[in-house]
Amino acid sequence: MSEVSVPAESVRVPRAPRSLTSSAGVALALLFVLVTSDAARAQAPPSDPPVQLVVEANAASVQVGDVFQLDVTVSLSGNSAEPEELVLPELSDFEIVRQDRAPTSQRTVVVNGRMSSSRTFGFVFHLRATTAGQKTIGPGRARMSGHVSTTKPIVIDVREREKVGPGGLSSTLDPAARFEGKQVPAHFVDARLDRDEAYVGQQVLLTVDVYTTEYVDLDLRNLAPPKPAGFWTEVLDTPTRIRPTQRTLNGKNYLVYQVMRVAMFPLEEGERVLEPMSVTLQSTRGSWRRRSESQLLSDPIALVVKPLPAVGRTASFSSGNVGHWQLRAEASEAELPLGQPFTLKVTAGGEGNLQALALPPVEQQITNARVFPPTTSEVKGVQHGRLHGEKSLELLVQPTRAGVFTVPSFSLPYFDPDDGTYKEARSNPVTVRVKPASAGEGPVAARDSARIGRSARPVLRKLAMPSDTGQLYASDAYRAGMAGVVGLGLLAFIVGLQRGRQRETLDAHTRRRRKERRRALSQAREQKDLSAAERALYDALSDRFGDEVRGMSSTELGAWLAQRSERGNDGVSPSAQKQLLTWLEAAHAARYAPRTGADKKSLFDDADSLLTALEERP
Amino acid sequence: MRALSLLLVSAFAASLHAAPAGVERELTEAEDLAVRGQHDAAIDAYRSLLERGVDFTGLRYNLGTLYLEEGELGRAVLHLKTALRGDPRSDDARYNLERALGERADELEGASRDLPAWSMVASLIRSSEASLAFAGTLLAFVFLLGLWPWTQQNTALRRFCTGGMLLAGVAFALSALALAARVQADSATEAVLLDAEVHARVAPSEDAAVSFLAHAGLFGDVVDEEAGFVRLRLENGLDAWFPRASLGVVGEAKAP
Repeated sequence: MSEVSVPAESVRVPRAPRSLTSSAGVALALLFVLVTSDAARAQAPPSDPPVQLVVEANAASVQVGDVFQLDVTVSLSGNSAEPEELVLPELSDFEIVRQDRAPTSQRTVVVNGRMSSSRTFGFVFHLRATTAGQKTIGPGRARMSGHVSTTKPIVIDVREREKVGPGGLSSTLDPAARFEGKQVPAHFVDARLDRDEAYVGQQVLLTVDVYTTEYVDLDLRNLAPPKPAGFWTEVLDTPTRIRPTQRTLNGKNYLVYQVMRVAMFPLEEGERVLEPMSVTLQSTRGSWRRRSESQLLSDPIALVVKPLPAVGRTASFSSGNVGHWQLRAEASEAELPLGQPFTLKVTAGGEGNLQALALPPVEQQITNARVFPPTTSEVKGVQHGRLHGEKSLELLVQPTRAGVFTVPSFSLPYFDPDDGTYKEARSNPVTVRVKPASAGEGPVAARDSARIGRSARPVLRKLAMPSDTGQLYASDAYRAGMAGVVGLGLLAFIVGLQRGRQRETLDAHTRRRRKERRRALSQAREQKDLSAAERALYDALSDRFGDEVRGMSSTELGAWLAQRSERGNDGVSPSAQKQLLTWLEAAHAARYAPRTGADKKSLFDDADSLLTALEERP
Repeated sequence: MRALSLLLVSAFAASLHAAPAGVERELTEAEDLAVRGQHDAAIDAYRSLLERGVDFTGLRYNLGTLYLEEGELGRAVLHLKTALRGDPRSDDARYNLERALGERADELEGASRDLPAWSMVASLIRSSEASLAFAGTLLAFVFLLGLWPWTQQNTALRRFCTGGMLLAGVAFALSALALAARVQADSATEAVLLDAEVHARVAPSEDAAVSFLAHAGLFGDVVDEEAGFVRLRLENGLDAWFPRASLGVVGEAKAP
């Protein structure tokens, strides 16, 4: 509970209507002030003290955590802007939540032809009481032209917060019961539940009221709808323009501002605590109508959440179906031709958490019809201060045979928290007369011999923009792609053909050269001309390794071939190399030491096999 | 070849059209209106989408079906024929189109139900499918053709190329035929009579003699157009002139 008391010396008055908005009105008001000031001055003492210090608190008794306002006002007569000395009150017993400079005012009056002026400025402190006890705001002092103005210390009674209800926290107590036999604060916030205990899923109403003894402006910006863990909440109303009602507590008249009502649905069992909520009050006071601000905190409140009983619970019960529910079903058509669909609407209405309410699986219970996927909708409202509403399920049903089509009764099991028992809501069966389509059309149903006509097929559901390319062949990109494919393919084909032709030409040349060498070797054999055979071999080597080998002696050739073998790019096997060098040596020797016919024949045979070995590609 | 494939894929991707924002939601709303029996509102919603360039087979089918439910045979035939052109295998569109045609007031003497061969082929395949099949088989054939001369030294690869070319060539020829049929079907300009009753005339003039009184849903190929009149060749081969304003062209983006 929160409490702010108003000290006797700073009683505030109800606000005057704000009507002086036009410039003429303002001028008149200023004139009025001047005139009345003059009149007042005429009867006042001839002169004001040079300095006057006033310290006011807007509460004499608060609870720990409450914020109250302290005004420090300095009035100077004459033309001085600041006092010679100013000592502000000691505030160490409180936490300074905010500190502002009060608006400065200047006043000039003429009394008996003599003009005098005064200046007023000050400070506004928002103080929070942090610990309980008698806390003191120290004296303040101001000095000007030898005159000293001193304020008395202000004692604030800071009390511990009251704890009542389950777990020591308030929950359902009406303020009249809470403050019975106690002093009622001038302002307080009353946050209250409509019950101490509730089942999981049961609706609990939270009401937040502000009690004041005077008209105030309520700043509700800090009053956010509570979102406590373990609850699903629905704000029933947060009025923007609040009209207070009147109530008497312990003989004192209060204005009661209802600032919020919230339907809360506990989701988990156990004792749950709602944290305090904050409301800021703004009021005006004093002859200059200074605004005063107080922040009020509600008390934390507790709720005991009970689990749903296991006894009586059916398998089809859904844990969100808690409250009071009725179920009804209706069809869009009473009579229709076969093939035409109708809309079936199944609605659960009543009190409870619509969000959690699970409707029966209607589409699974309809037979002899084509059933389309349902859509759901909700309508919420407030009746007697509680969340009511309807949750509907609509689906398209297309009977597949003529005759009387019956939509069965659907069942909605729910838990009634008032009775503490499980109950069942049932919808009424719905009948639709399905007429055969025009005679003579369509197949005949085998089972009941009804004539099934032909009607248009229904519209398609869940249409989505396809990624269909449509007339792709007509697009420029497609045509360019095709042209590119054909062009590249033909290019590859032509280049490949040319390369093949070149290779064939080369092969033909090689074959011709081989043929010529064979012919030369054959002639050399007939003429027993080893030099000619040697030329044929060199010719084969030249085709293989280039013309540089033509001028090499057998020794140079052997070294050259050995060098190539070492580099690994010879292509002639070592045995063939050896055989070649041996043959060249033998042929060379035979020129100077003629051999027998058999020996020569052997040399030509060797030359033949050597030629074959040299012409072989590796 | 890899670069070529990338080029093709990019080209196909560029030709796809993305769904405008909010279209899916508007489609759902239109469907909900339709299933609740609020056909006029559903038709308006679909037409609005169509006028904003949202045009595809499913939308045309739903629009044609709603017109059919409302008894507007001309528009039903127009949109269902457009749907069928987009998806020639749509059984629903074919079914509802037959129903719409069956409810027409006009009966054409000597109208042949036999479809030409190209029309039968076109009714089996969508344009996009024919395009992709043509592109794919052409790509395969050209790839193998380009590879073939390079396989001179590799007998196995050359055999593979030769066999593949034969197969790809046959497939390419078939897909080319299918594409040609689709192009033929798509390029045919058909118009449907939308007004309930229109005088079919023997010449493109209001003063010309009336050939017969035609009713909504009658359609034919557009043969000629002159002076605000269109010459239609009806299903039975009869030619007649109709006011252009009384006709809707199949496949035209504008929603009549």
